[in-house]
Parts: sequence; structure tokens; C-alpha cells
Amino acid sequence: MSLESTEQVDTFQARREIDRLIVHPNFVPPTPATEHPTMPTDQPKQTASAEPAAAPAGGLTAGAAQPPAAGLLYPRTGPTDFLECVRLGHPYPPAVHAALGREKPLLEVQDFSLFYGQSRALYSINMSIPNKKVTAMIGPSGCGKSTLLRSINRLNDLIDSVSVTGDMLLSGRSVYAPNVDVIDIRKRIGMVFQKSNPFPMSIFENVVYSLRIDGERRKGVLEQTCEKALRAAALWNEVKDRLKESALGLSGGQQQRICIARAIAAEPEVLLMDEPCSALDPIATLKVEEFIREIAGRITVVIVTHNMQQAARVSDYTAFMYLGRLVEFGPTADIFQKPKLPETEQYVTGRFG
Amino acid sequence: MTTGMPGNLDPAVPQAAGGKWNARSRSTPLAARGEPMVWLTGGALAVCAIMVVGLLAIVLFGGLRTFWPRPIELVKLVGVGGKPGEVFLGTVVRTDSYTPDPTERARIKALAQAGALAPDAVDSDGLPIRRLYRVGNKEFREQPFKWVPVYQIASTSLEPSATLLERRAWGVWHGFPTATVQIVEKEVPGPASAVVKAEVAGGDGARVEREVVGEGAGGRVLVREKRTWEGTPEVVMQAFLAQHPSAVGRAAEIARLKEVEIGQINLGLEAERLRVRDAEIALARSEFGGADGLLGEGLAGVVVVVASATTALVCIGALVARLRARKPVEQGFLPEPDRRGALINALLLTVGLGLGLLAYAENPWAARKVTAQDVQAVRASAEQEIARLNGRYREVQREIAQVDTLDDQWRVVFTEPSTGRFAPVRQTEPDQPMRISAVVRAVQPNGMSFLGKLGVYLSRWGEFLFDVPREANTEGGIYPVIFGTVALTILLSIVVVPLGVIAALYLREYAKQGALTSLIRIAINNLAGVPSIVFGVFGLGFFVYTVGAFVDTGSGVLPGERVSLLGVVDTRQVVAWWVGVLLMGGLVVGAVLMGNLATPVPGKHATRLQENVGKIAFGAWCLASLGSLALLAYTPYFRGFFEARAPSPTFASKGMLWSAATLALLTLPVVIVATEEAIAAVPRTMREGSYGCGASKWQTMQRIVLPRAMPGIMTGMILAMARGAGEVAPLMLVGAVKLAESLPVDGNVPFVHLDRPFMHLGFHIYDVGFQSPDSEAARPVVWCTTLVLIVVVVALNITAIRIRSNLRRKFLGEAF
Ligand SMILES: Nc1ncnc2c1ncn2[C@@H]1O[C@H](COP(=O)(O)OP(=O)(O)OP(=O)(O)O)[C@@H](O)[C@H]1O
Ligand SMILES: [Mg+2]
Repeated sequence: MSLESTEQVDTFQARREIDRLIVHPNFVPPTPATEHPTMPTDQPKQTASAEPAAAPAGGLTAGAAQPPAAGLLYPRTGPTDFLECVRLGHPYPPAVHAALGREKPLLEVQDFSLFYGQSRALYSINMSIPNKKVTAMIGPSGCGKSTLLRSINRLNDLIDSVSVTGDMLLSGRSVYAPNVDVIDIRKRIGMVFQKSNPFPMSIFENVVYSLRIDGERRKGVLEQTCEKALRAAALWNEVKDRLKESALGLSGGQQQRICIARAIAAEPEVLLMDEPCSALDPIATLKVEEFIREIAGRITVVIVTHNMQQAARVSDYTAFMYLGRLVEFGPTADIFQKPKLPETEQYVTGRFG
Repeated sequence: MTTGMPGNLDPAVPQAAGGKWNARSRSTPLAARGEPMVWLTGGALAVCAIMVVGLLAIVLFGGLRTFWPRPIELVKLVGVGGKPGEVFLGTVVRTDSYTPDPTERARIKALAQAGALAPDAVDSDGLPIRRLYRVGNKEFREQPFKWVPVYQIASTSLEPSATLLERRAWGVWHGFPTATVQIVEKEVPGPASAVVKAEVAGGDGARVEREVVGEGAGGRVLVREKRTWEGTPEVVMQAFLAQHPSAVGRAAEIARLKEVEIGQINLGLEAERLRVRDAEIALARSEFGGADGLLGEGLAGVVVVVASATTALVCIGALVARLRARKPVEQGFLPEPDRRGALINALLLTVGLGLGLLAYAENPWAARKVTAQDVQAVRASAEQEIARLNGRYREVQREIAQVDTLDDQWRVVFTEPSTGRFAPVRQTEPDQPMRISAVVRAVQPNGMSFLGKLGVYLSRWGEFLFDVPREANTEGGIYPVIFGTVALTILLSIVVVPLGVIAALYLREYAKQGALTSLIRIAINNLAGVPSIVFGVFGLGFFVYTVGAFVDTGSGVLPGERVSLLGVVDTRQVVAWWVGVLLMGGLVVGAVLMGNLATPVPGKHATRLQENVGKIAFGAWCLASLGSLALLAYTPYFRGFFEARAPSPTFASKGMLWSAATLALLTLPVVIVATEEAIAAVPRTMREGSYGCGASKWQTMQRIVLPRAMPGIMTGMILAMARGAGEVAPLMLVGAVKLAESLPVDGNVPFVHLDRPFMHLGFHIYDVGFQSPDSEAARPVVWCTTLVLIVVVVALNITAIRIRSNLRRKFLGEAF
């Protein structure tokens, strides 16, 4: 991985400090996580809240544009140290819990980076997603969760400007090799999108879309699949009498559940869910979560969520991402109760930034 | 620190050195207020609305009132210089005032002083008023329309028995019914001197006149007997009306015999002629070698191999895919091979291979070996058939003569007032009254009730919409015109919509967006701005004269010197052509390979080398398509599909197909732009959803993008249809004619005749309004045709709009 930041970091001194921080993955700051006395009220706050929204490389430019005194930007003992490193684009190994090593991986992400044109959205991600387990991805908005998720079934191919380095292995086979059948990969992976996207056709046709494109024509099979999927998505009772109506006439939450039903109808090996419950009421959310728990032993689920309780409830493992990097990855219980990094703890307890 | 920081609004936060927060006093200048813009935009809209509504109102008014029966005035003019004034029947068409010359002015003044000037003879400015009368009776008058100053009218009256006759020929006749007549030629016992010349009242109250016209057999004489039933106008009218339907039936029968029966015979004769000609051409060809050797065998071989291989590959591929079917997913249903699909594929495979073998056995490209004896046999059978047809022709002619003789007996006399002239059977025989069957409709509007007038009005509209034109299109109906317009519009959309949609799909979905695609877009948009007559010229030059001639009589490449290639002896042109075919094949294969090479690995950008290879591949494609066209144009031995008909053109003249093609080109930009926009408006999330389900690009396009874009595509189609239906200029060059003998669709094989010229509403308006000898008589037809054109275009549009809104409801509904 090339490191553009080398020229831009101001002082040799600061480099040394950062290096000292990043070579120790399990670095624990000497003082507990309290408000740093030397921290000025305005400047760092502003940076911390404005930066995540900017492009990943933006942190560097911002840092270069207003070079503050080294001591202020890289406080040796503050709880935000680690994230400052990330913001500067330094390589560092994520804190990966040992429990993951005992799991059989289904998807191995290997040194995976993704660029939207010139700007970089993912930085050398290395993680292995355990087989037939639920993995939650959390992290602030714009940190690249959706991008990573969409890279798994290669939906990012559709965006012209995207280029990638590194690879992913799905059941040991490369996803990004030149001769891979993308359609075959996508058929093994179901996806629920962040924004609901029902197709302009009837509810029934929406749900059985995957079967239709496989050429399934037997009515019985289609109807059975449709009912099963709709029940799992907690929608059957609402729409069972209007299956022939357009899916676009449903409410926003119902549309999202149609998309969930569509994704699970083909019984994929992997289910990618990008904030599936963001438009759902608590009851529907609960039902979807129950469904996820129910299928957890049978298929692999990767779920992105901003709802910490949800992540804690449904997932076996949780990955915390920040600005295009994986920060910490481990069993959910550990991430939420005894994370290795104080930053993770701050994020999951809502005291982040 | 700026004053805009939220912190400064909070009173709890100590204020920085920015000073106090002061509420700014604000004002709204006049220009910022909305009212003037409301007036301006509202005014502009009002002007537009008035113009549109005005146009529609004028056309509706002009079109709808034309056929309403108007009163027929009996006009008596003031006598001049002791002579009695003219008396005539006519309907008022228009009234206006004019500036008189000095002598006329003096006369009017004198009349006014004498108190003899009618109050409606001058307008409020003292200018004389004149009326335009439609007087008809063309056989006896130079002008069927007559301007009459009101001060010259002695009196007008509305006679209830004044009758307007609409006739099959010679326009309208105004007159009073005076008699019905029967003229019979019969043999009576001789001698000629014994024939009673006249009887005042025959057996049935008729006045009889007899005239000896010739000798009969056995001393009998041939006598023309004319029986005249005179009476009051009412009685005569009744007698006329009683006979009219049967007379119309006879006329229709004659027309049917002439058009259908004789038409069939003519078709048969032409078919026989073509059969003989074909045989002769085949003989001539087999004498100089024909499309034998390399071309004949080679082409058949290529077709068989390509067709069989493609069907075989496709079917085997599908077969395998179906048998492999879906891979098992853990809790999913077990994969069950699609047996029915496999069966269908196997069937297709068999049929494809069978067809290929059949093609090889029959080998349509090899020259048929025709000998002089064969031609002789064809000629003999054709002569036999022609003799039969000629016999049938004479038979039909006899039938026609029979009906015509009967029809000729029954006449009617409608007399002009004062002159006593009546409508003659033909202009050269002014003393013989016309046939009853010559009358299409007799109207006596003066005494008519409202319902009666309504009946006439509707029957006139019926005739206008469903009958063929007569009298140089100024009378009769416009059925073939409506038919031609609708057929053209439908054919046009059949051509343009698939073409435009496919082009737009490629441009938006497959093509790499770049300088080239923008260039193409610019070119397409500019195409929309080219004047339509330019398309007409192009259509004439390219479609009619080039493509049409190619279809008719082929490439004109004749065999030359014979050479040997790999042991096969053939002519030089054929060898060169095959070399060209091989080159083109190589070019296509190369282009495909290079295209594959140029496609970057997913997730990576194309390298410089790949970009360049891609450009070369594109160039190769262009070259290959041009080369293929050239090869097609120079196909050796290809002498067209209609060689036997030469030199009379089939597709190398004005026709439906080329008109549709020209208009398709004209409206292509509309469809492409609309489709592209509709496709671009399909949300990316929808496509991603489809791809995420494992759909291929084509499946996504077919199941998501196209249905969702369909309303937009329909919009493009509506615009194209409206433009195509209303276009005139290019059609004048490539297809529309003043009078088409037959409709483009009829009962003769092959039922749809795309080579035929047709009539078109827009061209008809131009033709009748500006090219007809009598523009005043054509005026009503112009109004009504315009109305029909508008109705046709609106009807087409409304249909399309309803389909579109249906689709919209189906595909674009949104939840909030
Ligand atoms: N099509 C695109 N072109 C360019 N940049 C993009 C594109 N899509 C996303 N990005 C950028 O990539 C980064 C990661 O985006 P991503 O959508 O993965 O974030 P996220 O973690 O899913 O955020 P959220 O929680 O808000 O959904 C963002 O900075 C975003 O601006
Ligand atoms: Mg996201």
C-alpha cells in the first residue's frame, strides 16, 4: 500500500509519535478516557465532527491545510489518538480478536482497497467473515460500510469510476479474478439495500424475481417461495390479498420488507443487509431480527446497522469501521462489553467524537 | 469567528469579540415581488391558449358547417336595357362588400334616389354588397360560381321544389323536377310508316314519342320509344325517389364489375405475362451460366453451415443449461431439470437441422436449368390461361353492357328556371336527359325539416368518410386518404420505434460514454433540425432510386472472364466477391477478438493499450459494416426480385415502404432522445437491485429498465406519430399521390402492398386546395379534410396517451 501521507505529515517528530502509537495494536492510553485538559474547545471538535463526512483523503488535506502545533493535533495521551492516526491515513493493523481465528471463514477480504476515481473509500481491509454467522458492521456515516458490502457481490462494477486492489475469497474462490462469473457470484448472494428499491412490477413478481431470472416457471414453486419469503419478512399478512398489485403502491416500510423478501426468496448462501430496518417500525424490526437469528445457523449474514442495540441483539461478530478502515473486529459481546480499543467503546456507547 | 456560528445565538454562551446581535431590517423591492411575473407569464399563456383554441375553433367551424344543407334561392336579376334579367337557382356561399367603379356608383346613387335600393344592398359605409352564389350546372355555364351585387337582384324566393343534385360527374345541378323518362329501343311490326310517332297518353299516363332508328328482322322495325311522365314537381320527385335506389344499385353493380372482376382478370393476365417472362429470363441465364459454380454452391453451403451451426449451438447450449438447471441451495427445493424446455429445444434443433438440409438439397442459389422446351411449355400454358381470361373478360363486358343498357333506360329531367334547359346525359347530347343513376343525392333543402337536414348532413359525412373521391378530389369521399394516412402512420411507428429504442438502448446502456457518444448525440439532435424536404430528397435519391432499384433489378454485376481458383472455375467477379466475403469475415472476427481484448478486467481501469485496441476494434466494425454493404450491393448474378416486371418499376418508384422509411428517419431523433431520457431516468438503485438478484444486463434491461422507461418511450412514439402523420413535404417526393388507384392493403396476394403509392391527408389538403382547377368548389373539402386530419392525429395521440398513462400508473407509482 502506497502512503500518500508521507510527504504531508508536518514534522518528523509527529511521525515518530504516530509510529509509536500504531505499532502497538493493543495500545492502551495511559490515562482513562476523560476530557483532555489541554484540548482547545473549538478546533479539534470541529475537525472531529466535520472530517468523517469528507472524502477519506480529506483528513490529510485538512491536516496539511491548517497545520496546528504538533502537540495539539497528536496529543500523546488523548483517547482520540488512534482515530487521528486513521485520519492521517497511516497503516496500522486493526484490533482483531482471537475468537475469530477459531471460526471457519466464508469470505476472506484480503488487503482490499477501493477507489472512486481518485478518492479512496476503502483502505487495505483485511477481515474474514465467519461462515453461517451474523456479522454486524458499525461505524459512522460515510466510513465505507456500504462500499465494502457492495464490493462483496461486485455491485461496484456498475460504477465506471471504481477501481479496486486486493481480492476477496468467497468459499476459497476469488471474487475479483478476471474470469469469474459475476452473475454466479451474485446468485449466491442476496442483498438488501439501504434505500428500498422495489421493482416496477407486482408484489408477487418482485418477490420471485430471482427465480424468474433463473427461468423458474412452475407456479406452485413460485407461490410457495413467495409466501415463505413474505412470511419471513413479516409482510405476508399485510399483502397476501394484493399480491397482484404494484409493489410501488406500498408504504416505504412495506417496500423495504418487499426487498428483504426478494433477497431471501432465492435462499442465498450469503445475505448482505445494508441497514435493512432503518425504515421499519419496532414490531417489523423485531420480526426481521427474529428471522435473522433464525437463519443465522444456516446462512451467513452481513448486516450494516447504525442501531447499536440491533447489532448487539442479532450479530455474532461485530466490525467497527472508521474512515474506510477496519478498526476493530471481534465477537459482539466483546466489542460491546470489553473492546480492545477505547475508541470502539466510545463509539458503541455513543460518546464518540 | 463568524457571526453565523450557532454558538453566538445562544445567550448563555459568552459573546466573542464580534459585537451584539442586531436584527437586520429587511425590505422587498418591487422586482422581487411576484405580481409582475404572474402577469407576464399568465399573459403569455393566454396568448398561446387563444391561438390554439382559435385554430381549433376555425377548423371546427369551417369543417362542421360545410355539409349542412343550405337553402336554394331562386334569384331574378334586374333586366338591363329592356332585356329581361337572368333567372337562376343557387346557394349563397359568401357575402361581402366591394368598392364599385364610377359608373356603378352612379347607378347605385340613382337607384337610391329613386328609392328602389333594397336596404340590404349597401353596407353601413354605403358600399354595395355582393353575394357569391354557387350555381353549378357546369354543362351550360363557364363558371359554377357567380358573384352578384345585391342591388342587381330584382327578387329572391325559396321554392320548396328547388332541388340540388349531387352527381357522379359534372358537379352539382340546380333545377326543378319536371319529368321522369324511360327510353327503350324495341322492335315493332313494320312497316316504318305504320309506327305511331306520338301518343299523348300511353297506357300508364306517359307521353310517348317514337322514332324509327333502323330495320329489324322479318320486316320489323327498330324503334326508340321515349315515355315521359310529367307532373307537378312533388309527383315527379316522388317518382324519381322511388326509382333512385335501384338505379344506384345498378351503378354500384357496374362499378363492382369494372373494378373487382376486370381487376382480377387484369391481375391474372399480368401474372401470366410475368410467368412467361420469368421463364425466358431463366433460359437466358442458364445459357450464359447463371449463378452456378462458386456462387451458387458456395452461398448455399455457407447458409446451411451457418444456420445449422447456430441453431445447433444455441439449442445445445440451452439444453445443457436447462438440464444443469439451478444449483441446490441448502434448504431450497431440489433442482428439477426443465423437461418441457429441453423438449422444446430438442424440437427446435431438429427443425433447424432439417431446414438446413432442405436448403442444401433445394439450393435456391444454383441456377435452374431451363431449356427452350420448358419455356415453350410455360408459354403454351400461359397462352391457354390468357385465352380463358380473355373469354372471361368478354363475358364480364357483356354483363356490364347488359346492366348499362337497363340503366340507360331510366332518365330524369331537372329543369333550370326560365331557360328550360335540363341536366343532360352528357355534354355532347344536351337534348337527352341524364340517367337516374348519375344522381348521388337529391336534396330539396327549402322545404326540409330540421331532422331532414340532419339526415342529409349525416349522410354527406358518411359519404365523405367512407367513399372514394370524384371530380378531381373536390367531391365524394376521402376514405382512401384516411386509410393511407393511418396505414402510413402505423407503418412508420413500426419502423421507427424498434429502431430508435434499440439505438437508444445501445447508446445509453452499452456504449462507453465518451467523445464518440456525445458526437453521435449531437448528430442525432441536429437531425431533428433538418428541414423535412431534405429528408424527402434523401428518400427519393437513396431509398427509391438506389435501394428500390436494387430490389427491383439487382446489382447489375454481370459475369466476366472465367478464372480458376483452387480448381473451381468461375468468373472473375464471383472470385473477387468471395475474396471480399472472406476479408469481411476476417475483419468481423478480428473486431470481436479485439473488442474482447479491449475490455478491462472488472474492477480495473482500461490501460492505454486496451483503449487503443478498442479504437481499432471500433474502426474494424465500421469498416466491416461498410464493406458488407458494398458486398451486398455488388452481389454477382443478383438481378433483383422483380426483373420480370422491368422496365416498369416496382419498388423503384413512390411507395408506402419508402415513405415510412423516410419519415422514420425524420422522426428517429424524437424517439431516440425520448427513450434515452426515459432510460436515464430509471433510478440506479432499481438496476442495482436487479443485478444484486443475479440478473444479467439484458435481463435487467428487459425486465426493469424497459418497462420502467416504457411511458417515456411511448411519449417519443406519440411525438413521432404526430409528426409523421402531419408531414407533407417529403411525402410529395417519396410516396403521396393525387389519386391512388388502389389501397395499400387489399384482398389480392400478398395483401399488403408496400410498393404502392398512397393518398395522404396532408398532401390531399395541399392538392385539393391549391392544385385543383376549381378552388372555390374545393374549399369545403379542404375544411373537412383538415378537420379529419386533426381528428386522426388527435385520435392517434389520445390512444397512445391513454396507453402511456396506464403504463405510468403501473410502473411509476411512488410511495412516500
Ligand atoms: N458513487 C460514489 N462516487 C464517489 N464517491 C462515493 C460514491 N459512493 C460513496 N462514495 C464515498 O465513499 C465513502 C463511503 O461511502 P459509503 O456509502 O460506503 O458509506 P457508509 O458507511 O455506507 O455510510 P452510511 O452509514 O451513511 O450509509 C463516502 O465518503 C462517500 O462519499
Ligand atoms: Mg451506507
